[in-house]
Amino acid sequence: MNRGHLQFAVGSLLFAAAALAAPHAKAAPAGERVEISSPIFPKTSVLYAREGALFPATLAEEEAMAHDASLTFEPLLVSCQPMHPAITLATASSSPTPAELVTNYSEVAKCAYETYTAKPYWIPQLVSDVDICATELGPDWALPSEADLASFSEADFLFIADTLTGAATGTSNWGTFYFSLGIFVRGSDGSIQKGDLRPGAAVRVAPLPVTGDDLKRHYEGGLALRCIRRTPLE
Amino acid sequence: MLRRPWMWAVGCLAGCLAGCQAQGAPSGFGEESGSPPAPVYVDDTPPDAGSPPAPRGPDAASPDAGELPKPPVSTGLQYNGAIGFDRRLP
Repeated sequence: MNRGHLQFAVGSLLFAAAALAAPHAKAAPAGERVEISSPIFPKTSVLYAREGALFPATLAEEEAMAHDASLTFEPLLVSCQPMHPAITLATASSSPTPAELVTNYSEVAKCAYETYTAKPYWIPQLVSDVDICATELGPDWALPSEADLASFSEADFLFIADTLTGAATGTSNWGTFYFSLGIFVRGSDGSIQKGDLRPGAAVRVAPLPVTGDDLKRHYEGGLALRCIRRTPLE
Repeated sequence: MLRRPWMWAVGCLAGCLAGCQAQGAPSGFGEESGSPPAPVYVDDTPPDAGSPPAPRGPDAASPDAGELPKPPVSTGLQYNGAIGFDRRLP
């Protein structure tokens, strides 16, 4: 092999290697998608029957109770639609328009309250002990943490509030809790606390005003059980 | 000093072509048939498996063309009742 052949071979090898390697380079995430779920509200008829001294004694019983009480959005869309024909269901070939999504949200809020006795009255101990978000929405959903709220910018809080305000059009007293910016949060110390998603809130996370056995009674503090899902964008 | 610099160029070209073929040639490159080019997806949001596709809402925060994106890029109210938005790294 003369010197020219060697140069040819080395050049080929280098460029072939580069061409093969480049497409496999792992791109760093470009950001993330954040989703804040609609509230999961409890059927108060289920909670009232098992609170205080009647609160479940085992985790398995708590999990069963939480599941029986949970009302989630998409099943409500379907079950409420016959009574609320303004609800637009997605089909295999079409999706609701943004305006129809707003109507859907308001109609589900009404229906959850009028038909299913939903109120923002979760029992804090149940929220603390049972991973309701993962159980009811899927394993990639979680109860928002204090760290989640700390990671949001004011623009994020403003966007969340504006979206809910826009969706509240046409809703009167019923179901207003569906638009609540007060939520249950897992505090940095592991306890269940109250979070505030309102733009400009001076305090984002604070302890609940109830303790001890009162945590096993329904809490009428207007807190919604919303869940969060964070997905990296490629 | 290279005695035959043109051989480097030929070697580079051969190597590059070999690499492209090993990866599978991109659409429109090295194909003999008149098949249409692969579609270009402008929505980088993966569909939500197991649920109907959620439409993208009005994007009030969308920057004008030519500007760098600023978080959050809204997707608004989703079919599943969630509020979604994209937070892009600056």
